[in-house]
Amino acid sequence: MSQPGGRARRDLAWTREEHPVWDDDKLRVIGGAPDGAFVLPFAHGDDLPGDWWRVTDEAGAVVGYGRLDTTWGGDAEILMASDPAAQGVGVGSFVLERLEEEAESRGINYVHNTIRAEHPQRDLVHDWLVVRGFRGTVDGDLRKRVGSTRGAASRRTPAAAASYDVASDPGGQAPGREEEGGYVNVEDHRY
Amino acid sequence: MTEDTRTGVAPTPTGPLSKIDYSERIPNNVNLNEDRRLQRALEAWQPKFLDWWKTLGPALPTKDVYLRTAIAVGRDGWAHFDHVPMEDYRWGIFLAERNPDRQVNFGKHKGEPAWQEVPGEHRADLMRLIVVQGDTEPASVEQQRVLGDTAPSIYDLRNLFQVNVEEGRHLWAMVYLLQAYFGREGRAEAEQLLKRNSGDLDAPRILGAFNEATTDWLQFFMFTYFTDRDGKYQLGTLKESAFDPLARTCEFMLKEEAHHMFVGTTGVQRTVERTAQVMKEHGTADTLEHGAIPLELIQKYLNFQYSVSMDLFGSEQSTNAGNYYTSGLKGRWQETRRKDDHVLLDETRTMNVVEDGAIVEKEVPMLSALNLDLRDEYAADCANGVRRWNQELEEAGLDERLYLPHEGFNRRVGAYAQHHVSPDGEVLDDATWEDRKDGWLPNDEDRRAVAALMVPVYEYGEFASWIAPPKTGINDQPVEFDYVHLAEEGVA
Repeated sequence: MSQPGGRARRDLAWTREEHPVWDDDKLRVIGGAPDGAFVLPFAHGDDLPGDWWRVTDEAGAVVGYGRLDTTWGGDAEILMASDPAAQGVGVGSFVLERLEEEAESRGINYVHNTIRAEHPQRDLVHDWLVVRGFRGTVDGDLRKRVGSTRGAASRRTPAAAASYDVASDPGGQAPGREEEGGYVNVEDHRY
Repeated sequence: MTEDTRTGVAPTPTGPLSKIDYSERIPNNVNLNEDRRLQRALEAWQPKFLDWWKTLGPALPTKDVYLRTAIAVGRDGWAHFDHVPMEDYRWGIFLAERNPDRQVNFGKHKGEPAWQEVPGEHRADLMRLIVVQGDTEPASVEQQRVLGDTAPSIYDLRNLFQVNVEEGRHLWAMVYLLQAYFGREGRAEAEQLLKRNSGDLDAPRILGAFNEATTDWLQFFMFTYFTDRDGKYQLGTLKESAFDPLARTCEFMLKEEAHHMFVGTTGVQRTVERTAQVMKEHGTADTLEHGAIPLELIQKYLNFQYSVSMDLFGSEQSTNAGNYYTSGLKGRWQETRRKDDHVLLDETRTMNVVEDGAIVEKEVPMLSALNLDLRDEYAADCANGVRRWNQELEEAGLDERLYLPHEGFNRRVGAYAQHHVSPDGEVLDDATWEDRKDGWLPNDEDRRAVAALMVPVYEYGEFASWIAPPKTGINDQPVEFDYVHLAEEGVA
């Protein structure tokens, strides 16, 4: 969950916007992205759909934004933007990590991102996302298991599942018979 | 919501009856034998699916089950019933009959011929929609894997297995689309649909709610009533898609889904009926000691399943949902019956938000609020079932009633996610919520109490103490019919 006003590494703070609107800071940060990176059909003061957070530096200046847009069944699209004047200092990674936490707190296990065909730095953005755990082609849907770059141990543990009776599945490859192959993960499966 | 002023009468169905070819290794009505490459790809996927079914499908060993199998996709006489070993069930690919004159009915492509191929500009979005839909289908089978061990009757056990095999078929439906229309990436996604597993930490199902085991039959009935109904509404929006194969696939899936709604509606109804009988007979609401589930616990289960199902619709406002609509990928529930311009650029509606500790309305662009539009339709439909359940209480002469909690209750997604709201719509502070939530949501003790009643009853025509028998059997068979033949190791 977001921690309004809380400071994180690199002295960046993550703050939820209760009533997100298109304003001067968004125009500067998101509108400052290369032409074609985003579709921005907003006028000053327009309400914005989805969940929005802003990133501020130690001086209180807005240096980035994150948005989570969820539709059916956990189809969660993220938007990340960092101030063109603050590139290369970790704002993007900070936004991604916080968005993954926000998704996780909503019971969403994967986040998606699509890079617009008109984005002039499409390959660069794709590489950036792949390095951070996204999988998919540059012209397709990129998907990431939230927290996958943090390691399984730090992730939220799903609710306890009912015990599985191995004896009831002779010859199967169910949990309890992992050594025989199959689809389950030996370490983590908790049936 | 189906009778309000915004919608007209249902359109008359068109198109001939389409027979399903069962002579093929993969039953289908899409002329699969004319596309050897696709046929080979699907035949390569088939044994992996069967492995998955054996591994993570129903755990209780059975000899055979009285199952319905689709034989045609027309309006009448579409299913055949017979005893079938579950591993021999003929999962296949069934699309509703094609209407060659079908047009796109909404968005910026309105009036253009429906798409028979995937437009390049919408390829990524369409594939994502299909993958997300496809992921939920096997997930519920995995969640319900061990329920057979505590079935309240052979009749109910058969219904569980029918739901399971049809959810498996719905996976086939999505895999067909992925393999037929999305090339190598589609084939890779089809593999992933079997590799993600409910509860797996590294590769869980996409949504958290589909990673928690269904531990008892009351939860199963609530799941089929509330969560499968959510799926019904999602399929209803995809049925309107400009991508015609997706629309036709979902149209037929909806037909199968109706049985799943039936299982949930009548399952809860029979539970309430039995509770009402016990309450009347013993003059107490504490029915546990008499082998029935107290109404208070039924309400808690209802509160939980309804609220988590509401979360499945996503945020009330969504740019993506608006984009899907404008692009023609995903319509609204009963799109063609809506009395508006089907473009929605100038339409607005109201939605609730929490401001200064109170729930207030605000006006928002309709295009941004299509998740909410669908959720409203769903909520109105859910209320119908609750009315039906309350009839049982009324007929028993009891004053108690079940109810749907407020839309803001127990929400993790959307406008209420940062707030606590009581079932009757009161905004609460953190301390009050913590103090009172156990009165509204099932805790471990509640679930243990319900679980203690979940003893298997495998004698034909017999039912567990907590549930009333149905009025009629399946496909005009008697209630005591031998719907399931257990394997000897399952009986032991």
